[in-house]
Amino acid sequence: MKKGWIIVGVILVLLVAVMSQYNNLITLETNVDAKWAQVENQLQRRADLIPNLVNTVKGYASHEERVFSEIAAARSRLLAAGDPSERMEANNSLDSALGRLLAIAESYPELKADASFVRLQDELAGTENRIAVERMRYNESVENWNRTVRRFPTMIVAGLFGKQARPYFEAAESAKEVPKVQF
Amino acid sequence: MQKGFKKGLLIIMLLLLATVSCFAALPRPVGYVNDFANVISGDHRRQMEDVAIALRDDQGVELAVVTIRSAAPLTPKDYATQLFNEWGIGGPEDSGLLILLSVDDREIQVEVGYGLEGVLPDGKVGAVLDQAVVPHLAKGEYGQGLLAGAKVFKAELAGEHYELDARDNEWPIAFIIFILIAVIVTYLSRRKGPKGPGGTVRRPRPVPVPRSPHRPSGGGFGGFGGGRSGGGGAGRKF
Repeated sequence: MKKGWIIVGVILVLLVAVMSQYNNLITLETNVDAKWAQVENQLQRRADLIPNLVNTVKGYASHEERVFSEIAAARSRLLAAGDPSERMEANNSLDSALGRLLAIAESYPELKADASFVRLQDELAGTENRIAVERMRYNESVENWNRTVRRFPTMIVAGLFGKQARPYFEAAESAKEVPKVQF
Repeated sequence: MQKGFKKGLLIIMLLLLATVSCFAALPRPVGYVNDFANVISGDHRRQMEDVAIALRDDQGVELAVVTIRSAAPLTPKDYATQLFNEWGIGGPEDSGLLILLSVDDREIQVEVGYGLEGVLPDGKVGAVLDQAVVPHLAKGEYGQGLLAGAKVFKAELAGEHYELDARDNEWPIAFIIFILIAVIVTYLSRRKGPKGPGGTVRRPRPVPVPRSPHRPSGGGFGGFGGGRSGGGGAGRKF
């Protein structure tokens, strides 16, 4: 009889422990999702800017067809992408296509002086900054999440409810170069 | 082996130093105008402070003007974003504006709080810099350029109104909850009956009242707090 009560007590304690761990996990997961939504907002914002930017450049440099079609392809891939990792990849190829577009603009002085091109470039630069900030905040939340999901004993609860580690949002290869330190 | 170890130790120490300086390098605000690089004359500073105080009192917008010598190891833009969020310029509605001049980087960055992004889109900020600020900065008239920029931003924000202090709304709710808990706890402990003379009356823990920095209207600088930004704004080299 007494033994039965002990078992009930142990089960109760375990249940409470699992419950609080589970709630903790849900809080963290919601945080990761919210941060990702912010990243998506900014990616969308940039995708919305691109048609205007391309049209302005076309007005001065209509024969640079190849870059325009690259950008259009990357942009539609970004908009069609479903899950975060696909989106990140499409975003990185859009990054490099945009870089080429702005490099082309360098050789057209009239384009560089065009007021609406300057405005669009500011909007684009601001959006890239926003993406960088939101990406950093997302990665911080992912780091926190992954640490929790992999650590004992939360790992058990996470496994029980099928919670898995999330991917980081890495910057594109070109942006990754770190200045080298020599000794 | 010994040499490799020493080298490794050196690298680790340098990395530690880098991280420490990354986090510790941000200064504390001393007012609306923070001339850490010492490039603004007293007259320009006073005029800028007047613009900032008027912005706060009329529109509920917090303006911070900051000059530094260099943003290293960060870029001026990253420095601006971190400083903005560290200081919390703009209060609960994120209606803050930071003008950062990095003298040795020869760069100016304007960081716009989330709340002002609609009124001050990046393109407009860039145009203001091009027209009103950069011409002065290029001639080395830093105080003049920053003041001109502050004035134009104030004009752009005319007609806007934001709430800087949310304390008036939060206070009564916390107070009511506190009273309710106090009443319930007293009632329950009375009902249990006296265990000794008077019984053991458990005192409820005081409910922590959210505090926000006091912002005296019409007065001087009262501190920032609560404002956030996400990297919006624009910058120029000069």
